[in-house]
Amino acid sequence: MHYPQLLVYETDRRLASLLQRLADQNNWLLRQPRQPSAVLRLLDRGGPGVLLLRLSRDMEREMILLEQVTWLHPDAAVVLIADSEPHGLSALAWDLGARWVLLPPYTREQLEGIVLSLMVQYQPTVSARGGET
Amino acid sequence: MSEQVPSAAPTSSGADIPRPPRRLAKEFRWQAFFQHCAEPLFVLDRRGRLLFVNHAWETLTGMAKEQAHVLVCRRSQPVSANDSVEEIVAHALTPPPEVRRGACGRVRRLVPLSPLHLGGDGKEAGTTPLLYGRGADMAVWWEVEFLPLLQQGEQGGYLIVGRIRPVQAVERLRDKPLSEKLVNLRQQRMERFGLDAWASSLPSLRRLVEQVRLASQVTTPVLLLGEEGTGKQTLARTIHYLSACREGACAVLDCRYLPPAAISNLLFHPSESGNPGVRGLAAVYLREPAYLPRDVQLLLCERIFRPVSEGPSPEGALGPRIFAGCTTPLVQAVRSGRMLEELACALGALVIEVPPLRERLADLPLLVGRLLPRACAGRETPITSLSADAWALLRSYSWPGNLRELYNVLRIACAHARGEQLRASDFPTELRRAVYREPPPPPVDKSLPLEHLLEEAERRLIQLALQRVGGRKARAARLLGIPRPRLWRRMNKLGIADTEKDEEDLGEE
Repeated sequence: MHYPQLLVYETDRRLASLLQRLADQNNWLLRQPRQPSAVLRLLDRGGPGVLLLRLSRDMEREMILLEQVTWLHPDAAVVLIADSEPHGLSALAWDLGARWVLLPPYTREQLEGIVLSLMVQYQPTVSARGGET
Repeated sequence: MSEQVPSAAPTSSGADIPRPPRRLAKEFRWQAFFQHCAEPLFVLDRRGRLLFVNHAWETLTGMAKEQAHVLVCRRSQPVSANDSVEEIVAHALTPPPEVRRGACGRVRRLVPLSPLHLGGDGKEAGTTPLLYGRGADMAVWWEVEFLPLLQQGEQGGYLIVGRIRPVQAVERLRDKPLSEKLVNLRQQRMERFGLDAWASSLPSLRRLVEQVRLASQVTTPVLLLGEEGTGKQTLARTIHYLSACREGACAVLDCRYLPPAAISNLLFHPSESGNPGVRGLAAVYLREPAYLPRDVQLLLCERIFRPVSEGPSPEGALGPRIFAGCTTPLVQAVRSGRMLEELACALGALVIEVPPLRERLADLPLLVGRLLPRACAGRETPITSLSADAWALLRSYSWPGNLRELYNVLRIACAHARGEQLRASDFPTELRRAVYREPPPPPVDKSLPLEHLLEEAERRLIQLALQRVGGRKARAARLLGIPRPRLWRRMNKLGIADTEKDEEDLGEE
């Protein structure tokens, strides 16, 4: 059985702990890679999934990862989550291919709603043709 | 200030007056054309130096032409209100890449200016001299049109005539701008969406490219119609990045897999919490808008017909431009009750049909060549070619998943490949099984080479004429209405055998 994977890239484990219960309920593989290369490797081997990308203070690393993921793995859905809103950030994220941008203040329900909706497309029935080119 | 005549200018005293320097002579020529135009105009040389600016340009920018002549407009980095006037103007007038390649272009640029000049005296931005100051936090949009002109007699030389149109949209700049690295990241991404990726010899693709060009010149909603994975989203981004509003962002919203409330809030209620809003968005690509609830469809309709003033979008229609991608024709969606007729009408102003991959199998080598470097990114040894059996496999498959499936298949094959060449055995088993199961797809959308068709028609006519007159070339030439030597030449060129000995022809000679 190939379980859909939910990747959470963040510096602490706050988002992952928020989504753990939801992942358990829906049989998702919740993974928390710490390195950009690990994110790419997981998407390569584990198939497409949703990637939650939480911006750190130096957001360049995450934005470069966003660009790489959306270019090399167009089937993956990337949600960018920021704790502040620097000028032009959301516009840049949209241009780089983010499926959604979540800016503060956001609620847990909003986060779960977005993740639940996006994960629907990665249910095991979806073939290699799914996703976006 | 623009009326001062340079000391080297010719006067009416006679022919012995020394000729002005070449540069000034050129400037006088442009002056004769443009000096008193009401619109701000300028002329750039190939290095981006301002050769000429007219009086309206000086009024708009608040810069004298002597200052303008030292500007070099080749700045790709964005500017902030803390930059100097010269840097801001140089950035605004920098030609986009396609203009430097010789094509016309139009681009919208954000120009920071001082709040003192934004209606403090009751005047509108863009109609008074815009003096810029440090600490300013406001910006206006300029739409700059570029028209490259080839210079005769100078190999490869060209000039660019430009026109500035201030757009009456003002926005407040907050915080510091993005870093140079991030701006470059966006630039790199934009450059990946070009029309070169759609170059093809097929008539359907050539028509598609022309439609994309047209769509980039207008601001109406565009409907992209095609099967899953044909590249509709890529095309929408290409149109956006070719348009004048390319400085604004393009968001892709998947109406099937995003909560309708989130999409509705983003587009229509930007003040909701957690919502990025449409700020900075110039275009929105809605994937399968038929999946939106009817109330959101209605709101979308109203937005298209009655746009609001928000974001760096076209004048008048200052909401983000709408692109829609559908896999089924709108008529079907309306008939099935999934889409409002009003929305179908609003979206159907400009429809671009994207052909499926099975109709462009002739382009397969081009497409594989473009996708292969991306598919094998990260490999230690890049894949450089495909074996003959791999090509045969790819050509035999019907590609129901289109370009997306092709990319995924290439990625899998690259992961399995050993060496620098892809073999048929590297491709997924499902693909190979499908090829052996199904017959090869029928050839569709054949190309129509005009030269070949004309030659065929000519050959047939000559053969008919020869047949009718028993092979006598002189009579055949008269029948065809052409001189006999020409008939001979054409017969030789087309390889028509001269089978019969023609005594009458010999006699006539």
